[in-house]
Amino acid sequence: MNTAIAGLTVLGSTFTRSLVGYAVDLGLLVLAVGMLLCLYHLLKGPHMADRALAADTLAIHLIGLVLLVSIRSQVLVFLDGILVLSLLSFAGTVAAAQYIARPHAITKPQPDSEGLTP
Amino acid sequence: MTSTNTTFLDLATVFFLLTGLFFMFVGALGIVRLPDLYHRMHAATKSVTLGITGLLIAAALALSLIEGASHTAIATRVVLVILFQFIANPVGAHLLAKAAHQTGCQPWSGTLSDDFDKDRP
Repeated sequence: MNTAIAGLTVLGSTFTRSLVGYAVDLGLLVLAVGMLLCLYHLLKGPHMADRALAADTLAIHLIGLVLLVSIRSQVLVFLDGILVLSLLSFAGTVAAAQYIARPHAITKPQPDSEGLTP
Repeated sequence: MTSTNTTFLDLATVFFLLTGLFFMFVGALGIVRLPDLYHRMHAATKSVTLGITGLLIAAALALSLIEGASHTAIATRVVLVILFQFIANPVGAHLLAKAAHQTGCQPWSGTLSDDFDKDRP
């Protein structure tokens, strides 16, 4: 049991032989397959919004994966990381949407903006 | 997790875990299988939000069994993340769909009408 509480060496502990342990192992597999599907669409997607959408879904799958690792290794600190991850994925999606709508707004000054361009 | 017998809390954890995993996988499958960006957004936003909610509830139930764990700390973080996901995912998908429609992302050939295109100045 010490290995499960330490949180690093979890293979072979009694946790993996319980019902929740089997479900968590299945969940790690399912989420990994889902992340591969998202990654495939991230590389393939024809429009740039497709890639941004796939990246957003990939980040949510990553949140789920961290949750399962947190259950499996019995470490509570990962919950704070989940909070930060969800905030960052939302910020990334908003930034990607702004960039898709106006791609020159970041690199070039807008011609119709007042007072900023000389 | 010292006892090997299954309690009601374990069953509830497994139920929420499997439900969440099902919806997460449906969302990831829909991203690959559906025909255009707007359909994919439908799969990615709604079912993935429901799936991550199930996973978060399962994690809250499972982590509250740790000895010495503060239930308030776990519940606060889980409820915060659930609320944030329910706000952030629709807003992000809305922004992405609007940006894609502005830059001329073509809808599926079987789409019947595009009211937003007709209203465009």
